[in-house]
Amino acid sequence: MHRFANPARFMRLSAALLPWLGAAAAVLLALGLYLALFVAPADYQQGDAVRIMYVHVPAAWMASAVYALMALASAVALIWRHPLADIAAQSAAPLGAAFTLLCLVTGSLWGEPMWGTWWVWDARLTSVLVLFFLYVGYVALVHAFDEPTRGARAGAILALVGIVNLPIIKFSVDWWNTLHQPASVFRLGGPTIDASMLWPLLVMALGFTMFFATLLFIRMRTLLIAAKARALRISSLEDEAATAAPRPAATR
Amino acid sequence: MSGITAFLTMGGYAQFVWPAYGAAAFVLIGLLLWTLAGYRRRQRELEALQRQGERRR
Repeated sequence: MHRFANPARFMRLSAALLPWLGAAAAVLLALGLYLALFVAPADYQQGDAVRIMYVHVPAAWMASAVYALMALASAVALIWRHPLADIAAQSAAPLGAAFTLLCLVTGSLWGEPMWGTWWVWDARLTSVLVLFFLYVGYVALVHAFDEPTRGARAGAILALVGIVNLPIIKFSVDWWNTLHQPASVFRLGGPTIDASMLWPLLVMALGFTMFFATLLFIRMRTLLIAAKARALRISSLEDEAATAAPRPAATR
Repeated sequence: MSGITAFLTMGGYAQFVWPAYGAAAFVLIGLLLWTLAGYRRRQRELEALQRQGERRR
C-alpha cells in the first residue's frame, strides 16, 4: 500500500484516472436517470412515487459507505501515519454529509405520500440524522485547531468513535419497530425487489459511486496542492526573515 | 391523458417525485461546481507562489 502513499505518485495516478472516472459517472448517471424515469415500472402499491427510490437509496448507501471509508482512512492515518489517509478522510467528509442530507430530504419527500408524515423520530431516521451530525462534527473539529495535524488527529478519533452508528443504521429496521421498510437488496437470501426495479437502482448506485470517486480524487488533489502552497509560503517567509535581519550567531 | 402529461404528473405524485429529483440534481451539481472551484482556486494560488519564488531567485 505504501507504493501509493507517495503524494507525487498519487497526483500522477489520479490525473490519469480522473477523465475515466468522470466519464463513467456521467454515463452511468444519465443512463440511471433514463431507466429510473422512463423504463422502470410504477409500483403496484406506490405508483410513480416509487421512483423516489432511485435517488433516495443510492444516497443512503453512499451516506454509510462514505462514512465507512472515512473511518477506515482515519484508522490508517492514526496507526500508520499514511500521508494520504488524513487527506482522503477530510476530502470524503463533506461529500458524505451531502449524500446524507440528500437521503434525509428525499426520504422525507417519500415518507409524506407513503407513510403520511414527513418525519418520525424512529430508529432508522434518527440514526441517519446522527450520521449527518457526525459528518458535520468531523468537519468542524478538523478545522477547530490552528495546527492542521492536531485537527486531523482529533477528527480521526471522532470518525472512529462514530463508526458504532453504522451497524445501528443498518440493523435499526430489524431491531426496532419503525415505519421504514427492512432491507430489500442487501439481505440474506438475496434481493426481494423485482429485477425491473433492481437494475435501474444498481446503475444509479454505481453512478453515485463513480461520481463520489471523481470528486474525492479532485478534492484530495486540492488538499495536496494547498499543502504544497503552504510549504512554499513558509519557506519564502523564512527566506525573507533571513535576508531582512541576519541574526548574529551569538545571540542564543 | 397524453403520455407527456402522465409523465409530468407522475400518477399524482408529481409534488413529491420532482422535488426529490430536483434535490438530487441540486446536491450533485452543487458538489461538482464547489469542488471544481476550490481546485482551480488552490491551483492558481500555487502558481502565483511559484512565480513569486522564481522572481526572487
